[in-house]
Amino acid sequence: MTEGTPRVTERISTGIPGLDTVLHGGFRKARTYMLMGLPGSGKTIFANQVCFHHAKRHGGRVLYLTLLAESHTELVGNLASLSYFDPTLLPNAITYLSAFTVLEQGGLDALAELIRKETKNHQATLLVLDGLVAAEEVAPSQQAIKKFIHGLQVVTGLMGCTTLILTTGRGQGLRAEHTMVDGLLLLRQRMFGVRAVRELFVRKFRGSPYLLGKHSFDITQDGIIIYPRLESLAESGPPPGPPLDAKCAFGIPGMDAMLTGGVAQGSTTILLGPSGSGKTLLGLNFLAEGARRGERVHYFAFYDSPERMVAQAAGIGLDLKPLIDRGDFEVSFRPPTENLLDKLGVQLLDIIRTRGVRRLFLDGYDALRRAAVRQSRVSRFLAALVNECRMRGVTLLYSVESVSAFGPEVTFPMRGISMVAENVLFLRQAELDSRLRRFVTVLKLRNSPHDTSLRELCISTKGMEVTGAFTDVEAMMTGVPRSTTWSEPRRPGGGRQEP
Amino acid sequence: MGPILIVDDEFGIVEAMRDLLSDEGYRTAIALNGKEALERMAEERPCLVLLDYMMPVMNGPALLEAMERNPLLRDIPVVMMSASPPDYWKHLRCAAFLPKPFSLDGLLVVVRRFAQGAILQ
Repeated sequence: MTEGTPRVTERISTGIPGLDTVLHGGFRKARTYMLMGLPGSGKTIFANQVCFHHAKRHGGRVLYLTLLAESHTELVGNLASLSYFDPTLLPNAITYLSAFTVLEQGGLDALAELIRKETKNHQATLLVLDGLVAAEEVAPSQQAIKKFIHGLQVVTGLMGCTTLILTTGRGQGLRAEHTMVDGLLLLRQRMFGVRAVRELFVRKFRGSPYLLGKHSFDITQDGIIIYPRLESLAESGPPPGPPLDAKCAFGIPGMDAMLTGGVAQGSTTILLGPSGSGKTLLGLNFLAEGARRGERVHYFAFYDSPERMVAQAAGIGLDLKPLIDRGDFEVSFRPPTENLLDKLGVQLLDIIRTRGVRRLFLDGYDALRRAAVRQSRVSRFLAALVNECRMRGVTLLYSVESVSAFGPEVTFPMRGISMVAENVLFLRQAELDSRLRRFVTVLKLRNSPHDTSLRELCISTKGMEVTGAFTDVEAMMTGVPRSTTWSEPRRPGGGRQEP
Repeated sequence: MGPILIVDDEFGIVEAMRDLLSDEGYRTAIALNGKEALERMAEERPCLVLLDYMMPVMNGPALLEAMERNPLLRDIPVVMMSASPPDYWKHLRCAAFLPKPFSLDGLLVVVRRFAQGAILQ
């Protein structure tokens, strides 16, 4: 008696960074997947990347069958510049065949026979069928193409061969045959103003969970890199155990006194203030204090290159070089030009999850906003990041530039502040006695008593210092304070204004 | 030597098995349910029956019973194919069981065993 247990579903890792995360481990063995995308969307690079990975890492055998009149010499020639391309795998481990003539002369039946026989002869464990649109063109009816796909699925399934079908979908949206396959992946290039953004979207994936939504991707010299959306990756749910009581100090005595020791470990703090108010330097002080205490910290920068940042810090007597050299103070920098929000998300998660970072300073929020092509995403992205940090006890600081440097209005550039930060420190410059004076105040510090006064923030070559409260002025928050001892605004030079 | 009779209500599976076995040099016949299978067997006695369990009109166990009652069909080896748990069908008097989903190699092993046996008889 031949008895057996049903086969355990094996996963075929794809070799495309990020895709296995989206697919919870890769393709399912012996299943049929369809990859849909208009010309130029990256289907061929995608499919070949999977092929080379399959041959190299899994020791698999690949059959790449094209239905289009394209020459394989040209195809291979185009791939040769990519780092994953390895000519030694051709033609044994990876075989390119053209089914163009067979399809043209014998139709779908002849194609099905060719696929069956060649898959068996090559003992292929991965089959790519490139250009389904050509088969659709010769199919006498929609029914015939459905039958062909179904037959192909059964045959390759019996042979244990994972199948990837590439199609443009003829730009007609979802068709019947697209619903039959075990998984449907869409590659898209979308325009946002003058920006083009590439996105992958898994429409269906039978028998397994997968990450929903649109994930950005890049096409690089190494092939395709997918950046799963941070919101779909980040930890959700309440933090394990009671909230952390430990405080993270800034290493600036006056500041730490205002915060009764610092900000809570695992909390998120916004440094809000106009350009030049001292946000970056305050954040760097916070990181340096962590590094001095032996924590690993990370500066995630958009505006200042590491060299400039080190020089800037040195200017106020903050010597970061030894901390950086020691490896406790990590710095990463990306210019605030065309960043992909999802790519930043993957980098941030890597810092939080794999690098063992305890303090993270993201400088600043505006670059995140520019990276997001959909503005509505930014607060969700931040909320996910904040939650991830909270769950892992990582203390996050990020700088937010306020719109106006002076004037009575203070607007938060984001909604739902409670969702994206527990604490808010407000930094501002004010004109007082014909001098620009910086001050800092705690707008919000969750679950902790704090000093509510406005205190002067002095930045000198000796460092940052938070000194006493302003006692003789009011309306500091407006940036144009009035003296409380003299009822009228002070005149330039500090003299009394004429009535 | 008679053909291998493939009995399954799923046309895609019947066709795929037919084509794959033909590629291997086997002669095949197909039926989409038990009743059709009896008709095929009346036309030509198969050397092996590959039988699905769940089918409309007449299911696998019913066909097996009908074959056992018929002295002309009683000794034809039957391989039961099913995706249901073995508890449902392990009591049946079959030559072998092929749990679904099976692989081509698994199918060929069974077929070689019984189709070969049929030649030797």
